[in-house]
Amino acid sequence: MTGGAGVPEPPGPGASPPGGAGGGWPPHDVPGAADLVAAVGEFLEAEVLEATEGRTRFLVRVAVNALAMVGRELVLGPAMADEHRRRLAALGVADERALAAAIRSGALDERAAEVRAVVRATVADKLAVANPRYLEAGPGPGA
Amino acid sequence: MDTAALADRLLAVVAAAVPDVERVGDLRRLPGGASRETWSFTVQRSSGATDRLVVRRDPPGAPPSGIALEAALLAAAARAGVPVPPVVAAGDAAGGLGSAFVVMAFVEGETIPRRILRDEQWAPARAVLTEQCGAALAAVHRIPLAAVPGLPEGDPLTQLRALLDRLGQPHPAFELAFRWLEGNRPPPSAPAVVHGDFRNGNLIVGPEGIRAVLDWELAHVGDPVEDLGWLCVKAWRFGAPAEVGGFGSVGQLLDAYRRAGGGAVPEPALRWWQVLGTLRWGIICIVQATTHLVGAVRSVELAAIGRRVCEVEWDLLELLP
Repeated sequence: MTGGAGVPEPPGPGASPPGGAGGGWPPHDVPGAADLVAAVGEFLEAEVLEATEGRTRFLVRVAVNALAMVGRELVLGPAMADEHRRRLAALGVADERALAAAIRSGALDERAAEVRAVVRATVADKLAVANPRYLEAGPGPGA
Repeated sequence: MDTAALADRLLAVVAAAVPDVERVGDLRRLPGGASRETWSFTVQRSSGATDRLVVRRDPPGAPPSGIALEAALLAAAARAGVPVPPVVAAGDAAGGLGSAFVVMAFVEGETIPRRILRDEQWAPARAVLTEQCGAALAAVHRIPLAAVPGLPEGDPLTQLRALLDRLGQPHPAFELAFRWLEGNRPPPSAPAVVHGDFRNGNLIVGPEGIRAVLDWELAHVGDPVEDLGWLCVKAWRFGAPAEVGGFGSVGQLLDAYRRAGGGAVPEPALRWWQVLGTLRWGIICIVQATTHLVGAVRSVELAAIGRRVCEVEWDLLELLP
């Protein structure tokens, strides 16, 4: 079966790849970066995991987790970076290093509750990328 | 020295301590332990009995890592009533194995935390682990300091501060923890031998509970409450809910410790050391990721640990008042 011009029929009536959600940037074609990373992760999980054992199998699991993290960072990263800049600006610090230094020196002691809220929101964002289950369930999957 | 040569030398070393030993067999290196080698082997006795033993030694040519101290600790711990593998023989670089070593009995049992916390087979052990941890730690802290001269000492908070500064990465959540720790130090306890890494994973467990406490490499002189706080760090629960190692409550632990002669520990002191231990684990995660990043050891496992730092930051935010 072909879709004409010797091209295979696409997988459904009017099927087209979702635009924008694939964690990629113009001018690159689909699949986007996040979609590619997801494809590699699925391959590792579906085929490589089954074919390995012991230490290598454990490391395949680690690799699958790391790829899932990259996928989430590609999709969520840009908006999180904007939000992070906005939160730091509200405290009057330029970056994480400046915030760490200000906490250490006591310069922000009078805004302790605000600082705590900013740090908490930042850590929550990092977890949403690194291990979202840690936020949902308390104890995450761990090592 | 190849494996056969090591086996010959081991025979001589063990025979000097156990006279009727005739043959060494099944010698193999166990995984882990970059700074110290661990090998397991069997010895055949003239009576026909076979004993399984373990030898830990510094890699030949490497700087001494404190194996002699480990041998002294194991012996002193046994005398104090800590369950440890019995020491069969020990020696320095001139002692026959080419580097400092300690030979000990092989202790059968489970060490993998997730199995100990989840498998039905270890349910009887889980029921007694908190009690036994309290008693074992009370025994560790009874070891006379004079029995183990040369143990390192220092203020852990100062050491962690220096370590994080050397790593050079900004972690505002860790700074909040440092500020709180600096402003809320509990009154110090009398200095004692601190195991330094007493937790699920470093315990050999049978159905009846703790058979041996391992990994004395981080032992030092310090505040004994440090060991209790470390045992309450969330990472050592391996996903199980109970606050002490995934198997017990803080109240049970402190009660067991006190009943075993370890003294009454006020809960605020324990909480201070729990926060310090959590911070310490977070900084260890950064160290491990850095080991990968600077290329000392390239490893996807070490790399991924870097992204666990935020789990520890979250734990600290939950712990800090």
